Amino acid sequence: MDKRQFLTGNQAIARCAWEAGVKVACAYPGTPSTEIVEEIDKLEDISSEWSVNEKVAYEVAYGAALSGSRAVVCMKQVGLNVAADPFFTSIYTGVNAGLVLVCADEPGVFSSQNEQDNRNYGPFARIPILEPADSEECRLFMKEAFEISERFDTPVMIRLTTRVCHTHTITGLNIREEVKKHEYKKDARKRSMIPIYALKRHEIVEERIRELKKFNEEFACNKIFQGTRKDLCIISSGMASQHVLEVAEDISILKLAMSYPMPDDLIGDFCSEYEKVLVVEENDDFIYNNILRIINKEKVIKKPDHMRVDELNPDRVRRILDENIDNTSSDNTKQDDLSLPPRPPQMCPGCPHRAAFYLLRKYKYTITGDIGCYGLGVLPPFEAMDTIICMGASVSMAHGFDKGNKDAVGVIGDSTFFHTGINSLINSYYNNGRSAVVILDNSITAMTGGQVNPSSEKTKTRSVSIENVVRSIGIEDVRVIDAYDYNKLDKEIKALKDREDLRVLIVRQPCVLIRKDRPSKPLFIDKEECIRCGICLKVGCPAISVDQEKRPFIIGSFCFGCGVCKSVCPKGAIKDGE
Amino acid sequence: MVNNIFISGVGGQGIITASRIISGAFFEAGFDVKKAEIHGLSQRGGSVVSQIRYGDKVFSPIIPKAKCEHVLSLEKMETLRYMELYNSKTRFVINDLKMLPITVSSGKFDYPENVKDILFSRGINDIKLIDADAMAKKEFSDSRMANTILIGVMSSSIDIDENNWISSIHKNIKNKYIEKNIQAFKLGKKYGVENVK
Repeated sequence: MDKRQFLTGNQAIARCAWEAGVKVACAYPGTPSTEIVEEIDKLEDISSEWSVNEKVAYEVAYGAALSGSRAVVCMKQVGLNVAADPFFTSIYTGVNAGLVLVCADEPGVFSSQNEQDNRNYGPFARIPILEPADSEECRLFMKEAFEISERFDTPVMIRLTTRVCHTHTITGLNIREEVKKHEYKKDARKRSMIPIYALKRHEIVEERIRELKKFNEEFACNKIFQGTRKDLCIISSGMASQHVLEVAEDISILKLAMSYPMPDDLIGDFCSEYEKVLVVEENDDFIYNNILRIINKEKVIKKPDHMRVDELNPDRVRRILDENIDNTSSDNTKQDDLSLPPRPPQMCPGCPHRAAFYLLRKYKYTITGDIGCYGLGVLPPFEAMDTIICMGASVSMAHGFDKGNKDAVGVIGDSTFFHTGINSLINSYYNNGRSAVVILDNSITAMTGGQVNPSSEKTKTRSVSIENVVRSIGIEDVRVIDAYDYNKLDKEIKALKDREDLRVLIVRQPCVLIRKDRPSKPLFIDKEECIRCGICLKVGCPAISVDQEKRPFIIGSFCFGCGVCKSVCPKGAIKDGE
Repeated sequence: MVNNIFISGVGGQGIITASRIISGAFFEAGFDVKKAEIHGLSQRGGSVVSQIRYGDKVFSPIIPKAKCEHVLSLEKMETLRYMELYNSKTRFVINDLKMLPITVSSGKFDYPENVKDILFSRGINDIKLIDADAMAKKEFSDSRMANTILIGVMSSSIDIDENNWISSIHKNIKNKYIEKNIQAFKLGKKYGVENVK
């Protein structure tokens, strides 16, 4: 069976998890990795779950692997920071059945808060890293990853990047491998890391990475593409190698499949035939820094430092070659600057976060924000958010602001509340905090496309009530408000200023993308009554536009009927639809 | 030889489905194909693009500067955002649809009304500006057929068999809308053939 398919990298990873006989798959949603477990969820024979955060996801998958079933855990690059604790030690304690961590970096920062290069976790944690460059390699490397994991008794990391995750390319299919459940045997010296055992395990980790290096010398997935030029060769990996292959037809290329631990002899032998070696890789100079151990520094050329920022593409690779190797001037034609109106993303029509942000802005709060759709509250017209750092930080940073004598409101979503906000809130209460926390509960993990979380309606999973959790901590001042009840919301958000103790305001309505009903019919603006004050435009709704005379009107087909614009109109010119 | 098709528009307009149909046609025709797009944040009403590359062998999924053969733009102004990808031979199919971004409706920017003239002034001549929404409403009483009409128009200048487009529609569209989409595609193709530049 080798049927031709057109799949994204994420779909191919999911497919091959199934082919590799995986029994358990866990993830916390995060662009660009989300679709992996979403796809796995559609397949039979695999138990998959949206865990509440990446640390938990890693531990669940790791437990499954120790129990004897193959497991996969997926997350975005910053997710591994959250999961770093079990991740590091699991490399000491080894696996039983295979465990593969699929981790997606974001060169170009399309939907993240930073551009960290997770290949650095390789030497840091001593984990082997595979870097597929297209969907077919995603599939093949997944299979290899499980074999490596079980042969060397270690978790294996597959490092993807956004362009690998979200690019459709052609790949084949295979049947599911029936993997026998590995027998579980208790072994505390191996798996219970008290200091004396941990030191012993560290020795094994170092020995293992030496063995993996030998393995990588012969690893068939590392590829050499022969070119005609003798003055130069290129070393690359992952998506960067695809740009190189497009641009540098006449140059010999070593494309590394396993970028850690590196195959020193293979690299040394390959480079010995050329005068110079150019390393082309996205973000950090990871391969470059590692091969300096092997090859004379004078011989190796790295990309210009400014290219560490943002993703590579064929044009940028061409520039590296032109300006650093061939000393020809590259295409420097100035960009055609038309000063076009930017088109930033916006909250959807009817988004239950809209009124809350409009009001938080109105009362000029300092807001520590979090990760989610409400990140759009940073952009005009709201410009309400002061900080966005990581999941859960809104709550703990508001507490920090409070301790530092500056009033702040922490704004967090439901999924992020369960991710790590819950710990922060316990901390705020326990340490006599008196900050304000607004939980925008839309009952779904929305930004990543609508994955369930504990606040979601009970379906295959059980539900957890946010207010019950908050009250059970001991917090007495807990208020729950309908996100569409503008006047009540106005009163409550204004009153946040006057609180004397920790207060939690839960603002609730389901995300419009999961709702089947609408609160009301599309609204319209009465032209006679409208005074063109522009206040309705300040709620930033895509359903409100302006005509040639700069008169606002509502695009009926976009309007969700939430009524926020009607509530802010000072003249009552916005009316319910018929 | 790698061929490049660039699709631009606004989040929510159905770019992902449109690019699935187009890339699917080249897949059906037996080419190596890559289709790249960005998911997540930008989909919330922001500028969205999809890049399709096909040929005997495609490495990078990203279209190099000035290498675009075909542009399908679902919103007028969005066409102008990616000028560096075009050359004087690039062929354009543009939806004559104006969607005001918040930066325009809030009065900070003006919407460029003369999209066609701007392209002309850059030496670009092969432009088909089509009110596909009106066509879709008139012919099918369904403005959602607009994208498929535009795909049909673009297909008229791409040399692969019509069957490949039809089977791609079959694979990428929900059953009950397949027939309507095929009609929309054929209508667009007919328009394209009759309006050769």
